[in-house]
Amino acid sequence: MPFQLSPAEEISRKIAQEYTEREIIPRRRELMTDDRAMWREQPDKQTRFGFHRHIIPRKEGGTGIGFVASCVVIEELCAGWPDLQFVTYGEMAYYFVKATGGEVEKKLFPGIIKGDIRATVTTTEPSGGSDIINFQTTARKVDGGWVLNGRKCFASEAECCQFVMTLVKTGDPNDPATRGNRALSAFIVEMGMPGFRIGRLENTLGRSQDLAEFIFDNCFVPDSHLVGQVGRGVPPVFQAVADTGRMTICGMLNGITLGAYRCAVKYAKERKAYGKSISELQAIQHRIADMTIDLEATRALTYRAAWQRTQGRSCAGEMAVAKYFATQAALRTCLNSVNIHGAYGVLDDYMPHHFYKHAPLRITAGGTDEIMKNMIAAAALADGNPDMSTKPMEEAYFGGWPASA
Amino acid sequence: MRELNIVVCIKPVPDSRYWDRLSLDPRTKTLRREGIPTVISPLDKNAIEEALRIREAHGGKVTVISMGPPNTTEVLAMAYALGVDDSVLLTDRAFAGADTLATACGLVSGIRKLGKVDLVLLGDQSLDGSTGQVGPQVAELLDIPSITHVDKIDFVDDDTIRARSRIELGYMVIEARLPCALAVVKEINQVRLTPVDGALWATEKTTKQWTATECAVDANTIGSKGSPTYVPEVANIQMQRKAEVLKGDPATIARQLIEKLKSAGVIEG
Repeated sequence: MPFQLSPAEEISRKIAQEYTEREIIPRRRELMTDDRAMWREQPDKQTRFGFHRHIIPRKEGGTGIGFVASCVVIEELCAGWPDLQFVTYGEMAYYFVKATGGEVEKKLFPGIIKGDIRATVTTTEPSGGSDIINFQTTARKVDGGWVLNGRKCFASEAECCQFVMTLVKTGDPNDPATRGNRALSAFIVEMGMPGFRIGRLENTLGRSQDLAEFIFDNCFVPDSHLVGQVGRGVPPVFQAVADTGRMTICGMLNGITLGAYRCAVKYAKERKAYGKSISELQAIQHRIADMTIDLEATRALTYRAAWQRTQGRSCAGEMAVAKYFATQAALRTCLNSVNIHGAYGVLDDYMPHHFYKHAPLRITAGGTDEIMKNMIAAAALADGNPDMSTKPMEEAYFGGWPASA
Repeated sequence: MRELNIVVCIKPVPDSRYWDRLSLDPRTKTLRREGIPTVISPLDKNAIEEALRIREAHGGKVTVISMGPPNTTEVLAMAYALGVDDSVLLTDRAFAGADTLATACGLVSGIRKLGKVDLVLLGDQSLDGSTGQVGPQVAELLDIPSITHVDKIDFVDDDTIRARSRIELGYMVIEARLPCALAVVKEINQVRLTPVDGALWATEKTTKQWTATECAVDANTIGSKGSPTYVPEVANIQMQRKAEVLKGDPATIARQLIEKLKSAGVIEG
């Protein structure tokens, strides 16, 4: 497969690296003791800087460089600090308003391009996320809009977003006309709408106040905020967001792998034992070789899937392969980094500890390993060829929605 | 204030992140740079930043000029990414092996070819050579005023610049007629982060590449031929910690330590 980073993608990496070296790395010490230290400023800084515009076509105000550039940027930011990236939320805001169109697009689009508006997605309920047919949150039709009631949970970066997209039940599962996922519809809900609020903020491994609960208590949402049509099931934008969301998670995991790799290589060269640098010991060299293999392979899989998406082709299968591998690679590399650092590797004051703590957070994000394997097998068996998804995106799931940046 | 034509001279230097890979070649008596990424010398970025600020305030044009092998265009692309209007690379075997004087001669030939220039900006010194000579040499060869160690620039009128030059324990404020050459220090500004759209500017603009013949420069004034500098010897200096064990009771050891630190000039007394 012919693939290499384009000059624009290479320069996008340099730009992200420069940003990380100036904005994030000097403040690592602060983040080591307070992981929320930069959550008030970085969301605005990153999207106002425009990192999310790589996936937006130039004619709409983006750079149009594409999905690989987005992955590369997220990778560099997360190599600085394992989860300090808000690029995704600018990207999601763009997808959501384009899928909704009309008044919502008119109102929110300029702010998204400027980087003032970000969005997150919330579908999972306390009873689970994959079993969408049994969601309990409902929307009831009223004059001029809908009234939402229920609870959603485990939404990421809720506090830095200006709106959410959610999936709720609008039909009756017992009615043949609205059976199955046709009972579901998607809505845009803006922060501050009466009856909508953030509930409990969950602490997770390595992060405090990480995942949010959303509460809909007789929340009125105007008709203009309906995404797609009622009774047509899950809108295609969800599939698009699922793929690009996994792309983001791969970028984050690759950033963790890269960060753990960089600090291990540096430490191995500096640390002296038995009168020489430990990088001269074969046991250490083999660990570094393993880390290098993981880094090269995970980058190649992610960039390949993102490149395919930029070409306007579906990448569901490839992205599932990349996400599965990126998770394993990050976990292995972090462990290798901790081992190379010895006891320093588990100290709060050293980076391996922080990369190691954040890697498992991404196991479930975008689907567990088992869900990834289900997707990979489905794609491989359905198409019966090693390239898996070869369909143009429009055919795969977009239905007229802009295919490439 | 009128619009100015500003030229910034920039030097590609080895990226400091990879300095552990640098070594000296005892045969050529130069740095071995193979495989080490090059970047714009940090103070030259301050010079670009100042040029961009002047352009943003008063209009005009910013052109960067450099001398080096053809792949130096990758470094110049990062100047485009920062927002400069134009870039020129002087690339020719005849330019190779230049010391500071021959470098200045080469750069001046390119600056002359650019036409009317109001202001030449440079970093006060490069990250690798650190001589600080090229700025004044360029000014001398162009026969224009030169101010070095500049940390502040103002305009008195359309044709007069006021620059603050850092000196030991203070500064001088100097006024000069345009055109002039200013060598800037890092305190002059904070270089902007390269904008996201810079990736587009860098890949859509092309660097002009000029040979020595195109610059109509005397071949005896450039490259190794035009370099009077001769390096007789290079040496690797090994930095090592000095270890010495002090003996006796704690008070004696403390006294000995104080004396040793005083005689080494670490503490006063």
